[in-house]
Amino acid sequence: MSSIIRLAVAYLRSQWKLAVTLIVIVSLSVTLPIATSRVTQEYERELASRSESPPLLLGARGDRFDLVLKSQFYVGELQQTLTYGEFHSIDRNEELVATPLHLVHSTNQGEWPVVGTTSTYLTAQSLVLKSGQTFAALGTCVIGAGIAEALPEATSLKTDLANPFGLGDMLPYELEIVGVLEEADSPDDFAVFISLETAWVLDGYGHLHDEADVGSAVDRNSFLKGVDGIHIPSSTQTSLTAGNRNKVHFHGDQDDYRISSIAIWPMHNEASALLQAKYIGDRNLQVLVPSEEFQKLMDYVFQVRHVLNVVFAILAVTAVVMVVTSIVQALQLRKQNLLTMQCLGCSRLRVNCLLLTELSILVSGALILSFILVLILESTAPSLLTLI
Amino acid sequence: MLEIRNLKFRYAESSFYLEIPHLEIAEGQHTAITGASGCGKTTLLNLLAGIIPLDLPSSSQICVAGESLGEKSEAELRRYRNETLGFVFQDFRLIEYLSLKDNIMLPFTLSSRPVTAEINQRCDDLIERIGLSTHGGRRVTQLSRGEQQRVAVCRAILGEPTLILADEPTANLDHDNAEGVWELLFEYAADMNATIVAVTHNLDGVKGFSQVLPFAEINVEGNLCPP
Repeated sequence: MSSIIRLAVAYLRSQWKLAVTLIVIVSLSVTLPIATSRVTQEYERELASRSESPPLLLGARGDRFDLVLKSQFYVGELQQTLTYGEFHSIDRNEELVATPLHLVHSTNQGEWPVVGTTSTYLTAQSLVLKSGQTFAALGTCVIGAGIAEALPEATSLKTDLANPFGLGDMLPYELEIVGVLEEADSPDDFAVFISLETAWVLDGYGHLHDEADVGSAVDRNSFLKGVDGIHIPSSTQTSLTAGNRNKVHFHGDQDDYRISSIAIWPMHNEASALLQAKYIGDRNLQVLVPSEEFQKLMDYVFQVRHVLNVVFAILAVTAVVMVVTSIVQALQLRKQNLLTMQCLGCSRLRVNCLLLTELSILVSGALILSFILVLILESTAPSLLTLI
Repeated sequence: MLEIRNLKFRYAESSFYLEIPHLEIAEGQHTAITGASGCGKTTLLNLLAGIIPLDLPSSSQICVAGESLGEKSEAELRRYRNETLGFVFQDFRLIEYLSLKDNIMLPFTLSSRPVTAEINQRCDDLIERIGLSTHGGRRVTQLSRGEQQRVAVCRAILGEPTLILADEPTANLDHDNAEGVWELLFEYAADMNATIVAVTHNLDGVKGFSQVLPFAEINVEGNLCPP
């Protein structure tokens, strides 16, 4: 058998351009549908993993996908269009479990979102602490398992500037890591959870100030800066510690503070229906069912996949025609060789075995290449969230 | 060794006709059949090799070592060509993408005959005998025409056949190379008491044949179709 393999390899080496072409054609026609199928399955899995939790979302009227994706997957900044007062009105309903979401800040140059919420959110999302404690204290945070893996030694994280120049903006705050979540295989793995109060400190609603400052707070870039009776947020104290935590103070009515959206877990269907009915006619707010929005998104994905499947089928037929034509052509060119083998009394079985071995090597090469390409495409395929 | 009785053969839709009433070649005899190009010499060799099957039922009979080729199955004919026969072609018929040694070993590699250490050694000896021991791994396309034909002879004699059929083996070679090829064939035949049947249109002073038969004498009807 080894001598037959040697002869087969010798032939393929002599026809390496044809062999490589056939391997590439076959592997591409195998790789593309498999890779597409696996990537879309991964997208589907990504979406399905979050589609049921929370079952309802309350947010500003506008782009439905935007609200769902940003609230569920923490993709980018979601404008603070709700007030904490609106959360209170929902939270008063005992048939609903509601948690506010504050989705404005980020760390690590925008890579990891900072989610301002309550500890109820962690419980409702079945997020379990692996170590440490929750973010009860101001300036503390709980990080997802993915961040903990990326920064195993970190004890704190610095928030990003909201704009590249930092003009008129709050300075980045140092968040003390007090807890790490168990891996959830969801966007929570790469999120930083803080309390709403900490989020509002990041917004500037609450702040520290230097000892000499007295009076009402204004932005440090305000034209009121320096006016008597005015104080400005401290530009030097950008981390909250046990020593200065009690010196943070907030201005204004908490019910006017901004949040991004509200995640809601109704106790039963009736409560869900009633809440949705309540906001049907609301001009500013909308209640969404994330699973329905995801299904719409998946319908688009499936439509694209269906079109791609047709394209791949055409590609496969073309590849088969090319491969068969090439093989027939090659056999035609080798007719004299095969005739010589017959004249030398070579066994027909062995000659067929030789041809099959050549074909097997080509197919094996194509499959190995396909396997590698599928792995590469899978690992380099952008996340659906990135695409969105 | 080889006996032809009442051989009649024609190609379909062709005026070519071959008729040999009787031809007998004894074991160990070296026979040259001469004739002009296209007279049917190659057809005769192909019939003797069982490459062209005899029309059956027919009274034509070709016996090699007492066995009738007409009665052999296709598998038996293949085994006959592989084990009893050594065939040397005019155009060498080497597999161009294989090395010199792989070409010589081909009748073993692609048959049920085991490739033993002895066969390997014999192959190496043959390569050394034709002075190409340093070229064993080379592709045959890198050899000269004379060297290629000597490789083809080695391929024919590696299995130690008792009958060698040579179809114009030196037609495309110069005198020196032709002499080398004949020498290799005769030397092997002398060692193994093998029978040689060679067809050629020009013997060009080749010595070593026991008999030289003009094709026109053995093919009684010439190339004419019988009425």
